[in-house]
Amino acid sequence: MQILAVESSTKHLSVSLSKDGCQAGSALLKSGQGFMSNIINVIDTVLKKSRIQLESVDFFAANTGPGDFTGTRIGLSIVKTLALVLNKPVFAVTCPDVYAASILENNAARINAGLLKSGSALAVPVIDVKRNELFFSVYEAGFGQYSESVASSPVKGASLYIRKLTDNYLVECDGFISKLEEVLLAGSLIMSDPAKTAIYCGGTAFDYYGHLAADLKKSGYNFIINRKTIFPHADYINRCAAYRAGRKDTAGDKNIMPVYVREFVPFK
Amino acid sequence: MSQCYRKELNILGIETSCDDTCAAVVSDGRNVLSNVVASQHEIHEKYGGVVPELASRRHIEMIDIIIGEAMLRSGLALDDIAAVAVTNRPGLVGSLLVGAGAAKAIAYAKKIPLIAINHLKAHLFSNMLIKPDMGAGFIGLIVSGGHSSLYKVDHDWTISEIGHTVDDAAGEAFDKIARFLELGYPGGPVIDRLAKQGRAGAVLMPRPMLESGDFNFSFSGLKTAVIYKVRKEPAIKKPENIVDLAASFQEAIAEVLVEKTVRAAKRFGYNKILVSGGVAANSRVRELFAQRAEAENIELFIPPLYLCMDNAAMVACLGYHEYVAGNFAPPTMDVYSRSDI
Repeated sequence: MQILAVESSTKHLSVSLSKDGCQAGSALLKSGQGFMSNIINVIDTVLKKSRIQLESVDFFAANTGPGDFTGTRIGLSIVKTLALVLNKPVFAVTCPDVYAASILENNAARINAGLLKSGSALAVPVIDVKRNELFFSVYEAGFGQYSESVASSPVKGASLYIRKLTDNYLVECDGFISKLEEVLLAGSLIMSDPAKTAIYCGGTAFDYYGHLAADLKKSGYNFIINRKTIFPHADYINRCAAYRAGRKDTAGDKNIMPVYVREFVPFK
Repeated sequence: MSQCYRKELNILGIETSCDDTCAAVVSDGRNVLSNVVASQHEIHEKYGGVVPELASRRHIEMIDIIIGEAMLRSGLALDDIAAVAVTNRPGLVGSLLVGAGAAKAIAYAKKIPLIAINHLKAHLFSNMLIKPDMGAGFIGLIVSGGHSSLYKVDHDWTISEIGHTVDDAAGEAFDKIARFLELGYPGGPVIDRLAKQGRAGAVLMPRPMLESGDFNFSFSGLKTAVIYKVRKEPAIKKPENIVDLAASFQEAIAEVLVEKTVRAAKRFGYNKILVSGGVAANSRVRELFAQRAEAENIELFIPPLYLCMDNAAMVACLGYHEYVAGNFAPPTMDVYSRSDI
């Protein structure tokens, strides 16, 4: 099973190819621009390095956002059309799910250790969606596999899974920490000893708002921010797609469109 | 006995430069096998004009559906397509990149050439779909919501811009006046409809830049003239009067377009005129061009309405000629909001 994933929802363009759940090739372009000029060459480079023909790709996948409008549309126009031409399914993976998979993968050993000590592990993707607003949701990592699980990661002979626990929330940056605390408490997502619940955060909000990580650490909860999870990467789109395909969800998604966090109002 | 079979050259065209998602398959640059247009008028209607962000959102929803539909209606498979031609300039960047991305994906996946198309040049080629032997050596007027330009197309297909609007495009003026008069969107068809019941000379309207000595246009002043007239005489907006205003406004635009185009033909010694773009669908513009062309013994080419509006058949048609000339685009092709022809 071969999956080609494209990530273009932030200033970094990446392409990832997996074969039977293992990474076969990957490329990252940190240009910040030129996605339209470079995207085909980046895809071609990954395929050639992996010695895999485009025609033998079984599934395509892309990050549908929320993210940069232009980049997301470039990625989706390419992926949707490749899937159309080759008559292959395509998976639409939302940006929070991509981050959840990234947080799980990049913190797997630590999450595993915490869980083995009767702790709990949450993941909170926090995405900068402009206009001084943040978009976040809460996921839980654990050994159990649920219908809401979006990805898995092997760790020391076992498998970790990550599932979505809450809705998505759109909040002003200044109100983010209080809203997150409200969501965590309302859902009883924090253990009686807050230190035993590790809250792993990632997302572009930590790139754009330099103070956010420090503010979280002052809150009294056990927040952990791994710099590897600031930007999404196609590898984690691939993880989510492979997880779905592995669960026999092989039809893919129809009418894939970007995720927008607000209705567009041309003039008020 | 051996027979030589020439395979048809089928080009898939894609056009997303503004607010219509279009795909078409054209064989040998002349036979339209399919021509699919997904209009966005209902989306932009309430704003009285194209909202670029909304246009882009709709394109990404529709692009694969429209390409699939164009292929289906053509009766061909993608393996029968020799190249994919796509508008990459000029236009709304957010719209262009959706079509360009799709075209690149097809070209890459099917290992066929990618052809970058100038939207304005494609309009000049649109009549080739109706009259393939039309040939070059004419004055071309492209008049739409985004463009009002005159071109000299020499016999060797060298194309030179000889005039353009210095402010609003003619179609833009129609849209803005329709919005001001609360008549709906797009403005061209609704003003055209009202004007049929009105008297073209009833309301005095200027003929902007008619005597400017060049081939440029200006429609912003005409729009301002309408606004001042309505403010001065509010009764002119009443249903019984607005038809006269619509007819007079339309006549002013039509006269300027026709007069300057005919003068250009005489100035450069061509007796052929091609008119294309959305405003070429206006019945009075067509009528006046026909009258003047006959009077001046000029051969007039105005494509049927479906080829005047934005469409991908004209893109595929020009794509054929670029293919024959070997003008292919690299996979790094980009999109551009502005471009000379």
